[in-house]
Amino acid sequence: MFLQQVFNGLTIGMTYALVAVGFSMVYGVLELANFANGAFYILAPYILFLMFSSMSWGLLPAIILAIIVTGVVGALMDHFILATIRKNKAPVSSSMVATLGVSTVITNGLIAIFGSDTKPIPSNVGIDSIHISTAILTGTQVLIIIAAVIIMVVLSLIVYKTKLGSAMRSIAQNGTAARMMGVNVNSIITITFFIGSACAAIAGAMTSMYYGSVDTMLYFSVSVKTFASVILGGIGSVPGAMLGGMLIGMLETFITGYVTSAYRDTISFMIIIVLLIVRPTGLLGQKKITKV
Amino acid sequence: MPLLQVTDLHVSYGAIKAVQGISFYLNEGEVVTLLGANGAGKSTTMNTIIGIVKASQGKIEFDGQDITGMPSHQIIKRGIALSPEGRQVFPRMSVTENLKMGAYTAKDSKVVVKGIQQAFDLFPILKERQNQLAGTLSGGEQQMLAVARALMTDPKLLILDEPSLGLAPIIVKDIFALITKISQMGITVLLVEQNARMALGVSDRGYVLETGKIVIEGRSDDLLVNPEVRNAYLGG
Ligand SMILES: Nc1ncnc2c1ncn2[C@@H]1O[C@H](COP(=O)(O)OP(=O)(O)O)[C@@H](O)[C@H]1O
Ligand SMILES: [Mg+2]
Repeated sequence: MFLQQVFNGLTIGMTYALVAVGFSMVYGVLELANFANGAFYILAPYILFLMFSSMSWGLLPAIILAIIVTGVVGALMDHFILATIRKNKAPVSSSMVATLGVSTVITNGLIAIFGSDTKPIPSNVGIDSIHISTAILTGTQVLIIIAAVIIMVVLSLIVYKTKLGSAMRSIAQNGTAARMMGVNVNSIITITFFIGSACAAIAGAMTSMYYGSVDTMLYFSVSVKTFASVILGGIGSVPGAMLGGMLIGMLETFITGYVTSAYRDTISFMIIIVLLIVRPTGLLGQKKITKV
Repeated sequence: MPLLQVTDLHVSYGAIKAVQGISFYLNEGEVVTLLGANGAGKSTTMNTIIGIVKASQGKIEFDGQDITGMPSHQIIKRGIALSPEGRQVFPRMSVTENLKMGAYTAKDSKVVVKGIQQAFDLFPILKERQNQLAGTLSGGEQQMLAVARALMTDPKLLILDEPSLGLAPIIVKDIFALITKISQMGITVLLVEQNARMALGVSDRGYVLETGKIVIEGRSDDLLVNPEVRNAYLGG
């Protein structure tokens, strides 16, 4: 029982971590809470559903298409909507409202096209499940854990070891100075949106495969989990988002498993509220160094 | 033809007319000072040259090309580097990472290696602190880092916006000695300062900016004995 909870918590935690990292990267470069991130998370499984079920694509090509399309939608949202808002020097809150608008358009669009009932998503990924004593790690869980670990390692390498990552971090620390160094701030932000949205898409696609279904209600629950993860880990911190996502996934699974399943989604809210009072910087977040 | 030619430049922030029709130039190899009190429009002018702020009117030509209204990343590629007022280092990056950011537009990784070597030669303290986060450096060290970062790509024109601001007198002396050294390396320097005596001491020519307009210009030697300059900027 305990080991099984660990496996389940790990699986869900990995998907939260992945969404939270993408959200956090965008937050880092813009100090913008991207409300559309949850919509990107559910957009991917619907694309998966469309390609796999209706057009009988293979699972892998369908997943790849879902990730790319979602990433591009995120990049386009930045390029055509948010970049314009930035150019007009409007406050970040305007951009936030715009992302809320985009998320509404996407979720309502999905309901209009696919209906609000639950859609089946293939959950057989062709990997054998692993039995360890009485606990089972299903093929989908194996895929999720391995894929999430690989992606998070790659993302960390991008952020901390590449020129693109340096550019992102420079924007996060001092956007004006980044421009003074010749960083094309707008294109870096758009690339960051692509990555963040693709992360949400990967997590959304994998989670829907794990549950075997998708519906638009998932939008709310994933949004709350994302906020809880980044606040727990420390807003804007990439390792913090990973840790926060893992912890939320674990906590949720254990409380649901051992205490009650009635408050599954409420747990995240309670964590957010307690943390904002007790430790607003989160576990790994730094205090903001004021710019001189 | 001058390396930098600014003609009838106007810059506004909404209703505030920060720069109101200024013209000046720098010849290759010169050190030129722009003097002026707080709020005169000096930083606005520098930020407009490198494309951080947009001109509402006027023309900026660099190295024979019109760069007015170009985005910063294109201007910087052409060989202008700015060490901004208030240092503006990346606080949570190491000294070395900050230096690498200075060579962001360089395509060749050799430029980065050479630039870091040059920075460590010019500022041995930065070598000692290379792995330290820039936010934890002293003000003087941050200033040296800001200058070193701007020198990373061997720019044709180096703009220094108040490099002596808030520094102890002994460090101020070092900074001005360094400006002469940079000039001897063949780099044209546009120096923005409130410390008129030191600035005019290391420069060839100077301009005085008052509330967005150039009111006096001339050779540094002449400005040092100019009664108006002496009264307003050299303490009589
Ligand atoms: N970002 C800004 N927004 C609005 N007004 C500004 C901004 N930056 C500077 N100003 C105003 O423009 C004028 C010139 O400022 P600045 O160029 O910083 O002068 P200096 O560098 O000579 O001290 C001042 O009146 C200042 O208040
Ligand atoms: Mg200034």
